[in-house]
Amino acid sequence: MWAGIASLIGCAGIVVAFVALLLFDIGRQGIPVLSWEFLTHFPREGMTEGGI
Amino acid sequence: MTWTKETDEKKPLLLEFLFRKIVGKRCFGGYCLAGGDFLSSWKAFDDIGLAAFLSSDIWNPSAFEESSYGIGSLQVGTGLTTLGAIAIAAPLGIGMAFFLSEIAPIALRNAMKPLVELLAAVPSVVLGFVSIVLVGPFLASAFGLPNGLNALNGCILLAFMALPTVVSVAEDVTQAVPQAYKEASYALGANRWETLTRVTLPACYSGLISAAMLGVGRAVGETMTVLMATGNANAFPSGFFSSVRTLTATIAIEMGEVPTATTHYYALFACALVLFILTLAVNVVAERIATRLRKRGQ
Repeated sequence: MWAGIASLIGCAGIVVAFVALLLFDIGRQGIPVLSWEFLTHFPREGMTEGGI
Repeated sequence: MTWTKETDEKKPLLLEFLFRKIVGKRCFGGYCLAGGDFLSSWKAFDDIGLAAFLSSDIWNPSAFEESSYGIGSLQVGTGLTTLGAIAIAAPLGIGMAFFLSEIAPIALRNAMKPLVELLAAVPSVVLGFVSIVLVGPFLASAFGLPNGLNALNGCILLAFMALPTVVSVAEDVTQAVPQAYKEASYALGANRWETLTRVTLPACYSGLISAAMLGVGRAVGETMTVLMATGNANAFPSGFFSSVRTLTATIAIEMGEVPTATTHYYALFACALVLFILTLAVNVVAERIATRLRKRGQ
């Protein structure tokens, strides 16, 4: 019985862990480079500077 | 009193009436699209031959000598990623649905459900991005591959795209099982796990199949994630570790660059028709099972 219930908890855990990892990784790498300039300015210097 | 209330409710809303008139019986627009698609595909079948189109596995529209339009390897690519995705998503999703509806305390359930539904709100291109920067390198290092962009990568990402559908449908059908069944089971001395596997599971079996089929329907038509995750090698795949190309990805890549009204152009319409028939079949089967379940429930 406990093995079965543990496997169900495992299923839920895997899904939640994946979603959390996904959001965490995008946030961790995305937020530091997000700035007001990036959002509002046009690209400059052949799209190597400026914003979107 | 109830009688007057009923007559009030039967008045059809103007908006609803108009909507029914315009949309017609059932998905009129869908029929129009499919009809137009079929007419265009017909020209491709005329040039290539239906048997050659479906069975040949060489898709080389821009060959120097003679172009060939066979979607065999593309079909295998679509089949491989979809089957792999559902092999991951069905057990995970159904397991999670059982956990949410039978085991988890209400506070935990209220915290976990939005997280899964959040997955449905993530744009598919973001999942494709994750497949390249996160899942790909992980697969490459875990299995010792030169790169991680292969069918398995596509399967994993597609599985997580299908999961919100599978989990919410599976949870609904699990909760639709009458409480009296479970109470009777507990009264006979069965524990939680025995009640779940011997009473609840058989009672909602067809609903769970329907949940998995709806997940398949979601996975078959997915384009951007598989386009980014699977590597798009135009060759017959040899397994989950080889790079594959799907029907959807082929249409997405080539439609923008193909000269209008050529065999190649019509062949892409034919790909769309095959895809349409595939998703229609999956959805009809899922709907049938769900309807049968609903009738039996009444």
